[in-house]
Parts: sequence; C-alpha cells; structure tokens
Amino acid sequence: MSTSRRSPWSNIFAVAYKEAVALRHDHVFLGVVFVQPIMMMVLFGMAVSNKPQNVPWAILDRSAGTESRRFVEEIEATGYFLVPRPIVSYEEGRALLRSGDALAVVVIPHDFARDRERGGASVQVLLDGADPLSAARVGGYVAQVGAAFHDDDAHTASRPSGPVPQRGAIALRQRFWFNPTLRDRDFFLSALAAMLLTNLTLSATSLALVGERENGTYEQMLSLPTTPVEIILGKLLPYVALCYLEVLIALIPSGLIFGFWPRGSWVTLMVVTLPFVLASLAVGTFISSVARNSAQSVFLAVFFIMPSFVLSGVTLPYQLMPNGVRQIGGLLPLRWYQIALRRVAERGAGLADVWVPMAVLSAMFVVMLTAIAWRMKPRLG
Amino acid sequence: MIIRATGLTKRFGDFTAVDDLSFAVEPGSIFAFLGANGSGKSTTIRMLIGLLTPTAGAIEVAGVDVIRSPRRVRDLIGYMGQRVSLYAGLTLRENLEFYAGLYGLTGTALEQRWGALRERFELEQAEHEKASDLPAGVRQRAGLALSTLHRPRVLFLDEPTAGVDVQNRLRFWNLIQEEAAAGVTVFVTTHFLEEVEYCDWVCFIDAGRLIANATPDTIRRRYSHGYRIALTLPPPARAAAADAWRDAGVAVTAIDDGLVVQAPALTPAIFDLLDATAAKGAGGGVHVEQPEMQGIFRELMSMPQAEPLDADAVRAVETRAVDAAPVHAVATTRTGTTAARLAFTLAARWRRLRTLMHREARATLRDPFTVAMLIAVPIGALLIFGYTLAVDVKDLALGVHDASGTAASRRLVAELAANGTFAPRRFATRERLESALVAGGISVAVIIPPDFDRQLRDEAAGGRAAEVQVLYDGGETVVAGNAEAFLQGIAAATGSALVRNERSGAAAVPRAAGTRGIQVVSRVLFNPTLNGVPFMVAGTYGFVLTFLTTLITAVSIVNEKLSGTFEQLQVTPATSGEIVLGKILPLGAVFALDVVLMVLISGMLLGVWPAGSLVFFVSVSCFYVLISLALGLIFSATSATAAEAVQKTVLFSIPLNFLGGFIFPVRNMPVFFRELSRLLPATHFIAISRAIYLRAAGPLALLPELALLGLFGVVLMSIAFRTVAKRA
Repeated sequence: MSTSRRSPWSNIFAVAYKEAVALRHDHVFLGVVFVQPIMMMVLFGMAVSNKPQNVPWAILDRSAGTESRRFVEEIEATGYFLVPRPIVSYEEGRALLRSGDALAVVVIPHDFARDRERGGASVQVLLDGADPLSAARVGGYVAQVGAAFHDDDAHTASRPSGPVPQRGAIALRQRFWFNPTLRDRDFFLSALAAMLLTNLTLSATSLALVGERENGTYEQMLSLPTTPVEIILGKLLPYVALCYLEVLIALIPSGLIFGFWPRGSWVTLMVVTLPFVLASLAVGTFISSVARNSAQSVFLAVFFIMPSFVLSGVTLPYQLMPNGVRQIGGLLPLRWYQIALRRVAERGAGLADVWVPMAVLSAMFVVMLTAIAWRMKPRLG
Repeated sequence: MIIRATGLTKRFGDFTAVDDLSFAVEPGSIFAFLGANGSGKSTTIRMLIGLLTPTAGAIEVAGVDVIRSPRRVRDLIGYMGQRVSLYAGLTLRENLEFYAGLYGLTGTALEQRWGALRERFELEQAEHEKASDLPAGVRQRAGLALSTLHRPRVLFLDEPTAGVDVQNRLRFWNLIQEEAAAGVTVFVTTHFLEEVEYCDWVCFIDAGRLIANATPDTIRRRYSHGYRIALTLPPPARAAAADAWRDAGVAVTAIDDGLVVQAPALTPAIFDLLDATAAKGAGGGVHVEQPEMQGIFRELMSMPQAEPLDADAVRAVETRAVDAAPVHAVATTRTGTTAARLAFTLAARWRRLRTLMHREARATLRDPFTVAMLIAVPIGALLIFGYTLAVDVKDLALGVHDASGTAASRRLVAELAANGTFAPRRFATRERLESALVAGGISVAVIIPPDFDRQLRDEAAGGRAAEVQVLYDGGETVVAGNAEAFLQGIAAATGSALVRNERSGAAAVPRAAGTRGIQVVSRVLFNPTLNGVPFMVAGTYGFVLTFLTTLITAVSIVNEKLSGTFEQLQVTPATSGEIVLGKILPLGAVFALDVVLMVLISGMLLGVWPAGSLVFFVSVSCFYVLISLALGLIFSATSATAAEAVQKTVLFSIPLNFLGGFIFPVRNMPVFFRELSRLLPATHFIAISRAIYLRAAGPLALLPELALLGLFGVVLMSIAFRTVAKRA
C-alpha cells in the first residue's frame, strides 16, 4: 500500500466529473431526462385511468314504461356510461357483448312497473367479464343506482360513491380521505417521480460499465489507483444530482398544470428519494456489469423496467395482487419508493411514517453495491 | 477502360465530400486510390460499387452504367470493406456457404473454386473456426477469398490492410498481385504509402479533389528529383565525370567522396553514362536510391493548388498488355425466351432468399442471449402479469375501532374477517386508527359508534338505519373502489342479520319487501368468476409480441450494420427486398414459435386457453409479429448503435405501452387519447387478442379491427422496405 494514498473522495469526484462532462453530449439520454417527464405527465395526468368511462351498454327494456325509462336515465346520470343502445332480444345483447360493442346489457323485465308497486322489482345486468376490473365496477354502479332508486327522489342516485341508505342493513357513512373523488390522476401523479426516476436511473447506468468495457476505457479505469467501489460511486454521483432535478421536473409541472402539490414537506420528499435513487442506480450498474455488450444491457434494463411498473404498485395497486406476486414485487426498489412517495405526497406523512421503506431501500443499495464489487473483482486479476 | 468515372461529385448538404473527380482504370491493373482520412476515399468507392448515388457525374464499371443500374454491376464486382465482414457467430465455412449462396455458387462448382482458393490463401486450418476467433491476418485473407469467390472482374478493396502486421500485409499484396496477373482489375484504397509500389497506377485525392493521377513512376519523376545515384570516385576522376553527366543534361553535385547525380528515370542513356563513369574512375562504387513515396506525397500536399497531374500522354506508353478477363457466367445467361428468363430470375431470387433466411435463423438460434430472451421473456411476462390483476381481493389491510364493544359489533367485525377479503386489525382509539390510515399501514378504517346497539334497536323498530363510519385511503383509487364494494355487501348482509336478531328471533322478514330500491341481479358472461388472469394473459401477448419482437429485430440489424456485414450484403446480388425478407421470415418463424410457446404456457401453467379458435388466434398473432418486425426494422435503420435502438424504445415505448390498453382500458381515456391510441397497432392487437381469448369472438365479429391491423401491416411493411432500401 502506498503511503501517499489520496482520500477516496478525490477519486470519486474525479470519476464523477468525467461522467458529468460525458453526459452533456448524450442526446438520446437528455431526451430521457427532459422529454419523458412531459410524455409521462400528460399520459398519467390526462389519459389513463382505472375508473370506467364512456362505457358502452345496451338496454333491453321489456317494460317500456316511464319507470324503466327513469331507471335508464338514472344510470346515464352517473356519468360513467354512454347513451345506451336499445335492443330487442337477448341474442342481440349477447352479440354486442361478444363483439365488445357493449360492456353491459341491462334487462328490464316485462312486469317491472307492477313489481315496483309491490316493492320487489328487479332488473338483470349482463356483464362482459373479460375485463374483470371494469365489469365489477360497472356492475357495482348499476347496483347502486338500483339500490338508491326511489319513487319520490329521483336525484339521490347520481353519486354512486356517496352514502346509500338501505333499510334492513347498516348504512355506511363513508369518506374517502386524501382523494375524496377517487380521482386516478392523483394516484398516478403522486408516483410520477417514481416512474421517471426508474427510467432515468436504469437507462443511465445500464450502459455505465459495459460502455466503458466496449470503449476500452474500463481497463484504463481499473489501472488507475481507484477501487471498484470508488469508480462506481463516482459514476453514480452525477446521476444522483440529475435525479433530484428530475424529481423537480416531475413535481413542479404537475403542481402548476394539475394543481397536484405534495402534501408532505419537500424536505421529507427529498430525503426519502435518496435511498431509492442509490438503490436503483446500483441495480442498473449491476445489470451493466452482467451484460456482455451494451445492447444486451439496455435490453435487460427494459425488461426490468416494464414489469417493475406493474409489479411495484405504481400503476396497479399491489394490495390487490395475490400472495406470491405481491412478494416478488417487494424485491423491487420501486415498490418501496412508491409506498414512501405516496405517503408523503398524498397523505402528508412525515419521516417517521416512512422509515421502513427507507431502511429497505438502503439495505437494497448496500446489497447491490456488494454484488457489483464482487462482479468487478475477478476482472482485476 | 474497365472503370471510368467522369465529373464525379458527392455533396452531403453543404459539405462537398467528392469534388469533380475524373479517372479511368485499365483492365487487369492494380489501381491505388490514396488520400488522408476523410479525404473522400470511402465515399468514392461506395459510389463506384453503387452503394451511394453521386450528386453529379457518370460512372461506368465493366461496361455497366452504375448510376442507372447499380444492381447489374454486382455480379461483376467483389468488395471488401474496411472491416472484414464475416459473421462473427458463424464458422468460416458457414460464412463461405452463405456468401457463395448469394452468388448462386453451390455444389461441386463451389467445392472446386473453394478448394483452389483455400490452398492459395492458406485457409485450411481456419475453415471450421468461428470467424470471431480468427486472427486479423487470417480474417483478412479469408475476406479477400470470399470476395473473389464468384470470379469478379473488378475487386474493390477499401483499406484492406489496416490493422494487419507487416508480414501479413506482404502476403496479402502477393495475393492481390496474383489476382491482377489473372486479369482481375483491383481498385484499392490505402494509407500505407509504401504499398503504392505494388500498384500500376496511383490516384491521390485531398479534400475530395484529384491531386495526382498517374503511374507511381511518373509521380516520382514529377515530384521528386528522380533517382539519387551516389558515385564514389577518387578525386582526380571527379571533374571529368561531372562534366560528362552535365553534358547529358543531368544535375550533378559534389560530395565528400564523389558525386551525386539526380536522374529522373533509369534510361539506357543513364546506364551508358554509369558505364563510362565506372571506366574512368576505377575502384568507385555506385549506390542508387529510389525516392520514397512518403516524401513525394509530402511534397504533393505542400502544393495546395497544384495542377492535377493527369498523365494521359504517359499512359499510352505505359499501358500494359492485359489478357481479357474471363467472361462472367451470369452475363452469358441473358439469352433464351422470356419465360425461361423469368424462371431463371425467380430461381435465383429464391436461392438467395433461402441463403439469407438460413443464415438469419442460424445466427438467431445460436446466440445464447437471444435464445434466453426468446424463452424467458414470454414465460416471465405471462407468470408475472397474469397474476397482477386480481379482483378477488384478499387480506386487505383494514383497521377497526370498535367503540361499542358489544356482541353485535363483535359480530360485525367477525363478518369483516370472515370471507378473507379483509385482514382486520383492531385499534383502541380513533386517533391511532386515523394515524395508521395516514401512515399507510391500513387502506380502510371502520369506526363502530358507541351507541351501535341502540341504533340497531331503533332500526328494528322501524327507525333509521344504524350507521357505521368508514374512512378509505382514497389515494389508492382502485383499492378504495374495490374495498367499498365489498364493505357495502358485508354491511348489507350482516346488517340484515343483526336487525333480525334485534327483532328477537321473529320469523325472518323477506329482505326485498323491506327494501324500496331495485334489486339488481348481475350475471357475468365470459368470465363468471371475474378472474383477472385471462384478461392479463390475453394482454400479455400484446406486450411480448410488441417489445421482444421489435427489440430483437432492431438489435439484429444494427449489429449487422456495425460489423459491416450489412454493407457487404448490399454489394452482393441480393436485392434490398430479399435482404429484408431474409430477415423478417426467419425471425417471424422464431416468434411464431414463441406464440405457440406462450399459448402452451398460459394453457398448461395458468389454465387459460383461448375461448375462441386457436388457429384464428395464432394466425392473427403471427400477422401481428410481422408488424412488430417492420417497426423493429424502421427503428434500427435510424439508429447508429444497438444500444441507441434499444434506448429509443425505452424513451418512446414505455409511455406508449400504457396507451395501448394493456393495463388501462382505452375506453376510460379522454377523446384525444382514445383516438391517439387507435394509431398504435398494439391497441388493436390487444383488443383482438382479448376478444378471442375471453369472448370467443370470430373473424366476423372482429372484421373492423382486423382490417385496421391489416392496413397497419401493409403500411409499416412498405415503410420498412423503403427505409432499408434507402440505406442501400
């Protein structure tokens, strides 16, 4: 060991500087940093939603009375449905369901008006179970309209998520916290930063080591008086700065455009972000150390990102996933970050509420770093 | 003249790479094309072989107008690029069979030709080695052997000796000279100036302009003082000798031990003078030095606006008699009836296509990474995505604060836990319950009021319904929506039972009679249990067949571009249509296998088989594969490196993935995005896949979607063909 060994930090900063300078010239990568946030924000702020909209449906009205017409109007008034298509037979309804031109077929029986007077009216709903999430919700909407259908008051049914008084049952006095109208936009925007950081960190680092190896600069780096861990930390440092920039790029426009500002403190948000960024960068670097060429590396990164988006709970609630799948998602850094991020951004949680995800993420970072150092070691010989 | 370029100019935007070049090449000669890096050498050679269309000028190679019919020249020429373009994953023998196949050389004809070449090029040992394992010198000889395989009349070699050691270069030049001796014209670019000595003619360009165009000897004479002859003479003989040389018009200078004369050429008169000098100065020595080309070119470069040396007059004297090149086999087949010609053309096309497909399939299946991806991605995606969307909610974190603490409230809590939907946790105070909701520990909070029993009694007596307060974490929109539906159900059922109990065991009152609303009886078709797996499985086909296909295709083409094999392919008689088809068909077949694999995995492992026709589903999927392949081709044609192609996919496709309806129904989007998503082929394929898998839809019910998909296929495929052809 040389006695005049410099501090590890100067090595780290030297590598970091080189990396930062190289970044400015990578146009595709700058696209990832600046263009993707806009695409994703538009997409998740405006386009996608789990809440059924524009539901095509058909009505087989065998009663054809004022009561049945009012019932149809009530369903339309919920705002989830398109104008129904009137049909004359079950066969027609089945055909519409099969071709996907209707998601639900409501059948009002011939004796509907008479049954109403006796207090025992019922209607039938045929649902296309192909899309189970939509089917369950659409069925629920119709059922709630039905349950709230009264002779005297034609307007109470227009809010399916509101309280529905039922006799012979327990009335639920419900409140939806944090997002009273269950708007999907808030659900997505609160995790927008998580999605963007995943793309950014992985597409940045997946080329980190394999790129150097292809350029022949890898050997050069290893021949310098730096340790693998120093090289890696140096490589990751500029990206950490970039990641914070990306968080701002995600949060400020979604506040300005959609009015979605984080409820928790910004400081908490930034603190929570660090262990995730480090863990995710380390995953990308690990991929890069495993891949044999840069195409393979980016390829692996793509097929890590895509399932991450689904399994982590960023786009679909992980709470609804069956055991096994839910646990696999627990291995992804994104799972823990989106939990922490949503707690802070949506519920205004403080640091005390997010220490578990932060601890998990830190542990992941340490494990990945060890794995990378191990991957790099045999090549030193 | 076998090559004649007239006024050749190529501009890229404002930059003029080649500026008004004119030159001609004698048949059977070795023509050196020299210049610094970036002087326009490669641009010129690419124009000569028809890979690049000039901005202006005319080119004729072996009697063919290259600009008007670039394809016709390909049987007549051989080309070896800067990177020797052997397929790394194949053995030399397999590379040989591939390129031979493209030229229609098979069977005994191939064996005879190869037998001779193998011996002459010393390739016996290398024949069954992988191309990537060959040393540079061997690889370069192999490249030359393969490019002369079809007996071309002209060989174009673009810096063939770059990166090769001196010994191997020497061997290589011997081979080139042998080819020239056999009547092949060799057009070679190099930046090793000493290699000019092997050549019959030199053309030197700088910044796209011709600087010199003559024999090496002419250039030497013009730009140097000719041969430097040092004569060692005793002092007494010097003066007389110097006079004799001067009289003959030769420059003479005196040096320490004799004279130095500068002779422009070694003519008989010079030899006579040498004899005379030797006779006068007994015991003297003669040392003849040829001027080095390096020095000459340095001189050439230092005279920027020099008149180009175009030594047509000299050429007449120096032209070497050359045997006529052997008449090429393909050229002689242009006889016979139209039908016979057509049959011949079709047979040749089919043979080339088969060769291309064979190689593509072999390369794809031999790459362990690609094979691993082809197997692991579909299986992984099916298993992972298949289970992510479950509507039968289990063990949802629910907190209860039971302020009542009576038998009735305990029963309600027990009911909450009963069917497994919720995993209730009790909280002693309302505050703790609410803070757990804030922290995210629970998704739903249920608060049973202290007077719950009294409320139930009221209700039983006909009063208003008993109330329980529920707080949801609305941030998790889907969870909240689902939890609400289940809670409503439990509350209704348990409530009825509790109220009945309050009526102290009286005969059960029919519930419907007490309800003033309408009972809605739901029947779910196609998927009665609302199982989420089939929905996601059918969508996963869209995901896998879009991404995996596009990516593997893109990487495959970009890798060829990088290794130089793509350029090599374009110089062979294979048309760009054949090249594209030769990629698409084998890859399509591989992905068709993937479709079958996915059908089997989802059927046997996940228990999800298509409700509709299996044949119909597989056919539509295979057609969709072609669309993704076309996209991959377009992606790759516009990318410089494989990583860039993949990165572009990350940039654009991940957001688009959410637009196609794989996870979020297209129906739920606002009009603009709905229309936007209709522009994606994936949207339509996912819709079709789900219709067949879940609703047993047949071709008739899906006619509009299928028509759109077909339209996409035609449009994208023609764009792909055009993009690849344009790069030719």
